[in-house]
Order: sequence, then C-alpha cells, then structure tokens
Amino acid sequence: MTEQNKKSILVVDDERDIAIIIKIALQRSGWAVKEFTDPILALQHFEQHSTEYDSILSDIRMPGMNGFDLVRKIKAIKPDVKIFLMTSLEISRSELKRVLPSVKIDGLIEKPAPMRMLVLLIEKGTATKKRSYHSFEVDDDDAAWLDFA
Amino acid sequence: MLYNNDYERNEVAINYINEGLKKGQLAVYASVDASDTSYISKRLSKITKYKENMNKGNLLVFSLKAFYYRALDGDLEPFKDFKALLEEIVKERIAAGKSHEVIVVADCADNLSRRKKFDECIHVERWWQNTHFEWLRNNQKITVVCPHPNLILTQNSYKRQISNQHSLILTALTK
Repeated sequence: MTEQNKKSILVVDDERDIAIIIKIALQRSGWAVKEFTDPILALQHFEQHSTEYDSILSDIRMPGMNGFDLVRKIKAIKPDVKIFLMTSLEISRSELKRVLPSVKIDGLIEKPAPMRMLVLLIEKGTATKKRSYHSFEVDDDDAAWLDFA
Repeated sequence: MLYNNDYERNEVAINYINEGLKKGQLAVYASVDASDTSYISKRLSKITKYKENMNKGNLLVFSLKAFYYRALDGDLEPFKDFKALLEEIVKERIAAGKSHEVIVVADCADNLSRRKKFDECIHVERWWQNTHFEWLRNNQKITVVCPHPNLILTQNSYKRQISNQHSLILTALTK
C-alpha cells in the first residue's frame, strides 16, 4: 500500500467518523493512511504489514484492547515505529513514562486537536532531522502539544 | 471531604497523599490549579520526597484544568481517559511487584462547588461514584478523595445532594 516517498501511518480510533476525518487530513498532507476502528484487527494487520508503516496514531480508550496495550504489542513487533497517542489528559510524555514505563511512545496529542495541528504534530514528531528543542507547544484554543525527547 | 477553609483543604489533601506514599501506594494529586507554578510548588513542597516519588513513578501530579472546562459543558471524556490511565498504571504496578492501591486527590468537583456550578458538580460526582462501584466490583483499590467547601454547600442546600454521590463523608480536621 505504501507509495514511494510517502510516509505511511496506521490510524486506530474506535469512532469511525474521527478515524475517517484524521485519515483525510493526513492524506491531504501526503501521507499514506490505513485506518481501523477495531484495535485487534489493526494489530493483526500490522503483524502482517509492519514494514509498510512508519508511524501509528491511536486513541487510548477502545473496546477489545486499549491504546496502551496496542502500543506495547506494536513496539514488540517493530521497535522503531513512531507511536502517537491521542488523549484528553494534560500529561507529558515524561510523566507518562514514569508511571507507565512499558508504554513507549513518541508523542501525546491532546484531544480535541484541530486537524491542521494534529497533522503538524505528527509531521514534526516523525521528522528525521534532529531537532534542537525538547518540547513543542502550540498556542491555540484547542491547545494540542507534543513532547519530544 | 468537607473543609471549612483553604488551609484545611490543602493540608488534608496533602496528608492523604503523604499517607498513601508512606503505605507504598500510588498517589495522584490532580488539580485544576496544577499548571499554576506558584500554587503547585507550595503544595508539592509539603509532599514527602516529592521529586524522588515522582521519578520513581509513585507520585503523579497533573492538571485538571481541561476537565473543569469540559465538565462545565457536561463533557466527561477526560475523566474517562483518566480512569483508563489509572487502571493501566495499576496493572503495570502489579506486574512490577508494587502496591496495587491508589489514592487520588482530585479537586475538579471542588472547583465546581466553589463556583456554585452544582448541577455540573453532581454530574461529575455521580460519574466518580459509578466508577468507584465498578472498581469495587473488580477488586481495584482506587480511592478518590474529593474536597468540597462545607459552607458553600450548606448555604446553597446542596450538601445532601453532593454527599449522596459519595461512599464516605469526612470532615477535614487539621489539628
């Protein structure tokens, strides 16, 4: 499914409308996107197609398997895949790491995030160029942010 | 937990956190004012070895500001993420051989009470109470302490309604 020179991402959110909106926004920015509303099916798909994906974007609360479990299993399959979790919580990646050391993520995106912001955060989080800053904050009404190490 | 002044509220909240840490529990201090550096640094300075406890993952401090504003709109989505996070942390702590018990001090409902947003407050407290029952059914020992202003609730005749959403009513005693 991945086209040459396109970054690819697996989007997992049990709310179909949200998954589709995210998919469209990322596609418009040049991403190859596959979306799932069932995390178990998403994991099964990833097991067979892990080489095709650079990144995963997942919700936390989903029936069948939560985002934390999904992250652990995805990372076990492909440790270098970039993982972004969407959450309503104001918690930093470093705080999350301290209380949930087994959940290795590359960024937290606070919900609700405007689509342009979500795409920007994922773009920045997956940029291969080394960044000179450690955190990136967005001054916006729907303050979304991503924490880089 | 009913308090009569801010000093009582803050002291008793920190006492719960310190007691929890002493017992090896995960202590969570969740406050609408957590992003206020001056406020939170005063509170944290009274928590036993707070830096060490944070670094070891025994103490989690985070902001409920978004919770508060979304609760005003009747939106409890952040609370549901909070619940999911707590349950996940408990699983991880059990796997690491740590205590599975958690003490949470959360002041979102308190802030709603203080600003006389009583219906919104009851909505939040009802959700916490249902969550508490679910945790009990699942043998999850997660205790949530919600401070509330005694005088404001009494003057506005909401004390009973808000008390009804709790398993236990305590009056703050700092002495």
